[in-house]
Amino acid sequence: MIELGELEKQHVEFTKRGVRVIVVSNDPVEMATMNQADFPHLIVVSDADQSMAKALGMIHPGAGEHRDDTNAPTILFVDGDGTVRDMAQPLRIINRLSPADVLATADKLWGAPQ
Amino acid sequence: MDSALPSNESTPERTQRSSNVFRRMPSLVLLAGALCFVVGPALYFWQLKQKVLVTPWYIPGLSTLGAVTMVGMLYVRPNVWRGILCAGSVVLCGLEWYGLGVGVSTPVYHGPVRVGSAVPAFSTQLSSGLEFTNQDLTSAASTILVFFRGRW
Repeated sequence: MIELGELEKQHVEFTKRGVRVIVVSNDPVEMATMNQADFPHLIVVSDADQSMAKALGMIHPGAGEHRDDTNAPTILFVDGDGTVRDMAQPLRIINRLSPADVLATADKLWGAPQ
Repeated sequence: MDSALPSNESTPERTQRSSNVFRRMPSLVLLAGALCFVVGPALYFWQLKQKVLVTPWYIPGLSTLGAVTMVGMLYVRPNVWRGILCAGSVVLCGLEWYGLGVGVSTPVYHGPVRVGSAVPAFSTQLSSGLEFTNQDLTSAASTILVFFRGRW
């Protein structure tokens, strides 16, 4: 859970910017509940049936642990009115934006905190 | 023109010296080649410990170095076992390049999300069991929505 842990560490910076971080996986509720306990400053979504991932087209077919569908790693930056302002998908599934890059993008979109 | 002469004269000597390394210390050369295949994954393990999620191109890079060493070894001192080892190292090296270059690629996005447009309608649930829909993205501050996978 490197990605979530690194985002969790930056929670003060996200709060300063008035930005909330919502993390979505296709884990069942039990696993999502454990993740929520481990990362209390993130909002954990349990998209077990992948209804959200399918609606947004964030599916990586056949790439799950048991060759089932899983999420394509993606970060969406969404305005308070629900408009997508930016979208970041790594070229490779083993890559992620660093928290510094996420914060830099947030600052570019919504301004740095005073 | 004169300055090129000593260099030309020393070339066969250098070649002789380098191939001598392969002849005199075959085990050491083999070990060095094999180490190249081990160091890459070890470095990646360390990279993950540092919580850095970038592509470890050094793994196939080091393996290429290892495979070249094995091929050089086979060229200078050929035998069946070195041939098998050499073939295995070349195959492994190729698999590593393919794996990082193609195997772990994120699929090209063809979904409905567009920058500048509203998030498409969806309905799912939070870890608490409460419903979570696209409407929840319109009633608060800005949101960073992270689709994640894996356990690392």
